[in-house]
Amino acid sequence: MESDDWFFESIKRYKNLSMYDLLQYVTAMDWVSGESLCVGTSNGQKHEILELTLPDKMLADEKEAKLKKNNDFQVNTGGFPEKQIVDLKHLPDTRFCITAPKDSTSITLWEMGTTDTDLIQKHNTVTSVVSNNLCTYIDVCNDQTNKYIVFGSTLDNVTILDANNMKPIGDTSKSKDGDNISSLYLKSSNDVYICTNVGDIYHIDTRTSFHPVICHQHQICNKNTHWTMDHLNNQSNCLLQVSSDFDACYYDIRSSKTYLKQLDLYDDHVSRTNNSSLHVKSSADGTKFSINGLDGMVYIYNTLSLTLEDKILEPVFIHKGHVMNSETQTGSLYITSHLWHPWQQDLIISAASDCSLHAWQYNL
Amino acid sequence: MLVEAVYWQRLVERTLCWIAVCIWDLMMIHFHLDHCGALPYMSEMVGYDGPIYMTHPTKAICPILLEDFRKITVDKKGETNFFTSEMIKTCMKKVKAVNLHEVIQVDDELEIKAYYAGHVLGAAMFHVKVGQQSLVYTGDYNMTPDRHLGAAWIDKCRPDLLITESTYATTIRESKRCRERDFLKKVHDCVEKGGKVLIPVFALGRAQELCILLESYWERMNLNIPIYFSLGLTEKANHYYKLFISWTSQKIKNTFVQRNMFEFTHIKPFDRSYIENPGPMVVFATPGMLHAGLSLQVFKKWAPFEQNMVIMPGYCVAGTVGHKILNGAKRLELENKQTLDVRLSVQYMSFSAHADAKGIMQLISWCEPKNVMLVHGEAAKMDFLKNKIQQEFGIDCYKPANGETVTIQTLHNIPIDISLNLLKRAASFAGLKSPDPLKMRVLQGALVMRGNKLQLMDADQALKDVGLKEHNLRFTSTLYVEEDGASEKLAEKIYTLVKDKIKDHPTQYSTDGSISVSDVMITVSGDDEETKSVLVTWSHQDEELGSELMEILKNELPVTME
Repeated sequence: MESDDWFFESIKRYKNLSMYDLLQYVTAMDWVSGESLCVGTSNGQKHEILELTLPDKMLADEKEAKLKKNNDFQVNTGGFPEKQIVDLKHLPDTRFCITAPKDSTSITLWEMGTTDTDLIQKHNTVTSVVSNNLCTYIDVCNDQTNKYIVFGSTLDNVTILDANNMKPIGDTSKSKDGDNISSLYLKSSNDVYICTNVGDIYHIDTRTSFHPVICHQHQICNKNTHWTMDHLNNQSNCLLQVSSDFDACYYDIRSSKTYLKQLDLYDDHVSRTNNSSLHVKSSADGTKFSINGLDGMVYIYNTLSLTLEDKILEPVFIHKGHVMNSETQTGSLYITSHLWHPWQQDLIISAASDCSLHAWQYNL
Repeated sequence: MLVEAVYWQRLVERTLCWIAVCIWDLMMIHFHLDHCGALPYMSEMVGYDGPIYMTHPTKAICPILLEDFRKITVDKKGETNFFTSEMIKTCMKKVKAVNLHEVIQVDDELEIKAYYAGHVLGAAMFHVKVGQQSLVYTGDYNMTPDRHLGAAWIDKCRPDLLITESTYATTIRESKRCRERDFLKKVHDCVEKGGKVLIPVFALGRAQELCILLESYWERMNLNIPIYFSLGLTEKANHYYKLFISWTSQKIKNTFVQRNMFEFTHIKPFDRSYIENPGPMVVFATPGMLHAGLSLQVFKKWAPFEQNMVIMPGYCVAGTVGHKILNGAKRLELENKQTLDVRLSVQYMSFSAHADAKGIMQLISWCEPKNVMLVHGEAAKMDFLKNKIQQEFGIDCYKPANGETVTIQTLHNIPIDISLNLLKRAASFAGLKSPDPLKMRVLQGALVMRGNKLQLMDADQALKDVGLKEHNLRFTSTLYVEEDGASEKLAEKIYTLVKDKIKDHPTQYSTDGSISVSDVMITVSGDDEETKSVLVTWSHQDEELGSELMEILKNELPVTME
């Protein structure tokens, strides 16, 4: 049987592979530290926010791992948001995280438990000046002296907050552009990069004004094409974009140079792009990038190949685990989110719409 | 968290000496030592003399593990004041074995019932009922079927209280497939490099499961490295599986019917002479904790070599070689004062399954308890689960500290018979051909108690049966109203007022000038120039309506105190 074949082959193809079933599917996640992550989950009617501690075995080196007994995630703290979480970011070096709910342009600050309780509790909520019912995205940055938060759903409702007091230091409400946003990158308290749904990249320099200025524009071939963006780790001046039409774009902020490639996917790929789940992520060392949201698999590519001659990028690895182990119809399953571990080499956490959660380290 | 049975025994010694008389009966959840390890101590040394219940497999397996435990603790660790082999036998003679779903009447009030818990062979969850009140204690259970045991199951028994451990409630358990994959990877990596793999096992359950797994993998990967199992394993396993086939998973039942349990293509019986054979191999051998027998013999030969591996599949009691090497010991002192260098790779692989967060929620949804109690966890780590249970099921969830008392209010239903005539009459009022038990209705009748039996019957019939005449109580009240004119005029005014205010009772104005609201009568009398008397009369059954009418009249009419 195909799934048995995949299972046996996985012994060689993965250094480590762990699969879990949650009660609800993950809608957003972020690292709290190298040992734990925060996830937003939902079953459509009820929603949760959980802080999960990684199993010891996953982070131990090969020598230590053999005597480690623990292969399970632990729910360290948990809470009950009223609405489904569409984006989630942990505020670095704190026990707080920020979430954006569905159909709302507000964000909520949560405290992840105290010594007396394991409940994740609301601390406060901030609403943008311009409200609408679109998906709101968040980013955070830890400047040398302070922490900042940026959130927004359209070009005219991006707000930057001082994380110490959750007070706004500026917003784009005076902008005339109201294009939908798909991702935000808070490079520093002075620089915000915004990717719109159609793939345009805007920059806000907060030292001059809070007006978004376009720095890169894609030619619109298909008006339904959806783009998303992330920055390359280890190279904060480089942005990565991916589209629902399987295009990948590498954009150098300093030189404004772009490289556009076509992504090759799995042969029997069944396209079921869920725009809100389309994510591109960079590995911790920036040498790899990965995509989810196109179907039930996670695709990994070499970053370097973006700047080379080849027009089509072949994936160096495809994680088919969710599809091979799911009871859901293959065509309807999609990956909702994935993350690279901040320091454990090649360790990825991925989550799918059938409530599965995988932690895997691939072998090349 | 497993508590060493010896430690628990000491705890028992301190606490049970004075509470032994208070324990009415004892139910043994399963054969793991953290649950049954102090049983002979309690019955033979502390003096508990009540009934001891356990499932048949637990009764069969307990004495074996208790004897092993006793040997290790007394012979190897030198413990004194420990139970003897004779005490184990005497204790087990007192045990009453129960079947799944069998209702056991402990006394005229207390009854217990065992449910399948998965986890290990013979493990059970117990439903305990005293009169109207009941609780379910889960012990360790598993909601995911594995290769040799099915998943726990319970019916909609709706206990007043479900007690479950919260230790694993915050665990999101790795899928069984991944643990199997991990096991296969370790074995394959070792034998691929020419190493030998020793897997010490207990005779039951896991050995069979791991053999099936390894056989499938060897077949798929076309490997020809020898795999062996010790004969002692097969004899005991076959014997127990024949006895307890109903306790295993459907897959095992099918396999057992189709072929001999240990007939494999790639797995053969082991002979001691093979220990010295060169080259890679895999060996399953008893006992599981490396404390004696073949597994220890093999271990002694293979331990000094780095390319070899031992995979410990479970918990090991302190004092055993298994326990020492799992704690990282690199040099062991053997019985003959010789030392053994442990250079082989020591791996831990637990296949013991417990319910996790998902499993606990599932169990609650199945048995529909009215309350849940979480035990065996830290207070600050149970708020989220407590809230989750309360939100999901709308029931109270408690997390008491050690020594804390929790009082739970329970609804006490009183079962009564009902006369058929009354039931049929009530159904006909509702327009039903026969009574519908799912539709709540209020019935009126007389509750009659004969001996211990209660019956609701028609009031007339009840009076007749006891030879009593029915008395009628009637209330009459007079209001004095300052109103000029004929009394008929006031009567008409009252009629209009009452008809307007009282909508759900028929109001009639008779030719004799009286007003009736259902069975409540209102009459007005008095001469034209005088204060009118308004007489209101009703029977005790119409007290509510009568009082309401009085209020209306007092509020709306110019009533005087005269």
